Amino acid sequence: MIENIASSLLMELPERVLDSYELKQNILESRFNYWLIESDNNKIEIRRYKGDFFCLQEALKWQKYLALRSNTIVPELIETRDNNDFVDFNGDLFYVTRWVKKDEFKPEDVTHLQYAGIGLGILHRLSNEYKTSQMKSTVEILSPGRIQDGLAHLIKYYNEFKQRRSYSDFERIYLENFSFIYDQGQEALQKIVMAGYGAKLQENTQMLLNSFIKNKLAIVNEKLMFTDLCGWTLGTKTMDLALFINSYLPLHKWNIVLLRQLLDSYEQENGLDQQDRQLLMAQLRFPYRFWFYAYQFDKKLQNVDVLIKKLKLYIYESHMRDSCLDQMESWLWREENENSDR
Amino acid sequence: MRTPIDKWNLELTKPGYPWQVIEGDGVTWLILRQKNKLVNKEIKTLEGVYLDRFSWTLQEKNRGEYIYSGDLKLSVRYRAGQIDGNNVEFIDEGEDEVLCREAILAPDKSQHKSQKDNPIYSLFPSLLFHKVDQIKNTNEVFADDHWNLSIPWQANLHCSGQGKEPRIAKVHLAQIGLSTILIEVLLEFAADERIPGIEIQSGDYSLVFQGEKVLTIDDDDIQEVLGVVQQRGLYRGLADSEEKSFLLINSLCTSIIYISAICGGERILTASCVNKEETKLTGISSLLFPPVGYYQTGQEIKYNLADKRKLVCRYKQKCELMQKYIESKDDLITNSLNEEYNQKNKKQEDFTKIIRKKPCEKWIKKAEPNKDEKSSYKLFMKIKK
Repeated sequence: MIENIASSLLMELPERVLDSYELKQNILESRFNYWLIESDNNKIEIRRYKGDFFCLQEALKWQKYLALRSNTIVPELIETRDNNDFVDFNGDLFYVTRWVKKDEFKPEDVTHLQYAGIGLGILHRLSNEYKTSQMKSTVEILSPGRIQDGLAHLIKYYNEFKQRRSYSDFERIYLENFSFIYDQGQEALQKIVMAGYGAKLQENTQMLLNSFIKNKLAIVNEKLMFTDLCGWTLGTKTMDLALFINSYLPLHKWNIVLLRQLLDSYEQENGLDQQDRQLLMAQLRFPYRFWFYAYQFDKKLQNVDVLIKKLKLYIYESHMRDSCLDQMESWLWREENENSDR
Repeated sequence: MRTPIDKWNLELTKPGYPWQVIEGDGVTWLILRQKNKLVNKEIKTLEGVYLDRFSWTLQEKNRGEYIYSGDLKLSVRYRAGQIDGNNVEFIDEGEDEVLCREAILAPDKSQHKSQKDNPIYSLFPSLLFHKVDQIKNTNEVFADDHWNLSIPWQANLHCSGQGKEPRIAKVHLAQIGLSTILIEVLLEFAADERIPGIEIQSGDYSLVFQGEKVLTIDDDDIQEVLGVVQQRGLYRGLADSEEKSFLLINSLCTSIIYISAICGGERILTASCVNKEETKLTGISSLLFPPVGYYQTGQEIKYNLADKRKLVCRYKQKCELMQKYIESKDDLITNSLNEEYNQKNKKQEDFTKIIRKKPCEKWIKKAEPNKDEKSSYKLFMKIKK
C-alpha cells in the first residue's frame, strides 16, 4: 500500500526534470509539490511552482542574489546542466535547491520569532540594493484611498447584514463589534495620512516576501531561512513586517514585550524611521481580517461555522491588539522624542 | 357550500424598538423590546428574568375604545466577565493573512469554491418563558450581574365588550453576539366578548364575516403561533338595485404573532398581509351611508400550524356595521372636547367655511336674464295713422 502511494507520487516528478539536473531517482521524501532526493551522496530538494513564468524567474534571480550575500538566509539554488534556474515541463516549473539540515519553524516558540525578526531584517537590508525590472508593486494597499475603500466595504457589509432577517451568529458578532473595529480602521487611516503616503514612497519600493506561511520558513543553525520566495512583491519593508506580526503575534496574545523584542531584533539589522513606524502601526491597526472574513462570508467562500469561530477569535484578538498597540505607540513616540533631544 | 380557501402570503414585520403594537378587533398585542450591550464585558451565562412589578390602569377613552397604561419592572440576571482572550487558544493566522492580502488586491480573482448555505442556528442562549409564573420570584438568590428595567407602556383596545386585565403572554431573553442582552416581553390586551358594552344603534347592520385561509411565510420558521388578529377598514360599496343586493368591499389586514424557531435574535415576531374582502349583503339595494366602521359582537378564530411556514386559519366574526353611529351628536368626538376649545374652533370654522357653488352656476346666471328685468321689459309700438 505504502509502496503504491510512493510510486504514485514518484510518477508526478517527470523524468525530464531529473535529466535536466543529471539526478538519479532516489526519492527520500515527497510532499505536495516537493521532493527530497539523494543523488551522489548529496541531498537536494525539488520544488514545483504552478504560476507565472516571469514571477519564478525573478524570484530565483533574487534568491541567487541573496545566497551570494548570506549563506543562511535562503537555500542555495542549483542550476540545470544548461545553466538555467528552472525547468519548464508542460507549464509546470521545477527548480532545485541544495538541502541543508533544518528544523521546523514553530511560531509558538518565542526564540523562533526572534530569529525571524533578525532574518527578516537581513533579508530586507540585502534586498534594498537589489533592482528588478519587474513591475509587481502592491504598495498601493497603503494608500489612503485604499484604506478608505476598505472602511467603506466594512460599512457596506454592516448595512447588508443589518437588513437581513435570518442572520447567523457571524452577522450578529459582526454587527455587535462593528463600531469598535471600525474605529481601529479610522485610526489606521489617520496614521497613513500622518506617515505621508506619496510618490516618494511608491518609488522607493523593494522586493518583499509577501508570505509567511509556516512551511515556507525553517530554522538553520539558530537562524531563520526563507525557503520559498515565489510569492514576492514590491513594496515597503513595513508591509512584510506587518504581515509577519499580524500572522504570529495573535498566538502570543499580542504580548507587548515580545513585540518589542521582535522589532528590536529587526532593527538590529535594518532600521526603521518615523515614516516606517507610522506605516507599521497603521497596518497593525487596520482590521484586514475582519474585512476578509466578512468578504468570505458574503461571497460564500468559506464554511460559516469556521468563519464564526475565526471572527470570534478575531474579536478577542482585537481587544488585546488594541491594548498592545496603545502601549506600543506611546513607546515609539517616546523613543522619537528621546532621539530628537540628543 | 364550503367557503373557498384563500391562500395568502404573510410578510414579516421588522421588529420595532422599544415597542411594537398589533391591534386587532377585540385584542391588542404589545411587544416591549430592549437591548443592552455590556461595555468591554462578555456574557458567560444568562440566569433568568425576575418580575419586580406589573401595574396598570384602564380607562374608557371613547365608546368601545379603551386605553391601558402601566409600568413593567423587570430584572435580568446574568453572569459576565471582562472580554479576555487569556483563556482563548489562538491559531496560526499566517495563511489567512496571505489570502487576505491577495483578496484585497484582487477581490474578484478568488480561487475558493463557493460553499452551500448552512442551516441557520445560534450558539448563543435563547430562553423563553411561556407562563408568567415561570418568571422567578425576586426572593431567589441572584447572580452578581443584573440589568434592571423599568418600562412604561401604553396600549389601546377597540372592542364591544369590557376590557380585561392585561397579561404577560411571553418573555424572551437572549444573548446576541458576545456581550448584548435582548429582552422581549409580550403583553396581551383582550376584551370580554360576553358582556356587551355597546348598545346596538338602530340603523346598524348585522353581518357575519367568515372564511378559511392558508397563511404562508417565506422568510422565517414558526415555532408557535400566539395569536391571529384581523382588522378591517376602507369600506366602499356597490349596489345592485335589480338583484336587491349590496356588495360591501373593504380591506382586511391579517396579522399573526408568533415565536420564531430561529434563535439568536428577536423571536417574538409578527407578520401580516393586507387583502380585499368582499361581502354580499342581500335584501338591501343600498346602505343609507357608506359604513365607517364596525364593532364586533362575537368572534371565533381557530388556527393550526400545518408546518414551520404554513398556518391554516378559520374565522367567524359577528359584526355590526356602523352607519348612523357617526350621525349621533352625542358620539361626535368634538363633544368630548371642552367648551372653550369648541368656541374657538367654531370661530375658526366661520372664517374657514367654504361655500361651494353649484356646478356651472356662474354660467347659468349669465345665460338666464334677471326675472325682475324680464318683468319690467316694455314693448313700445307706434301705430301710424
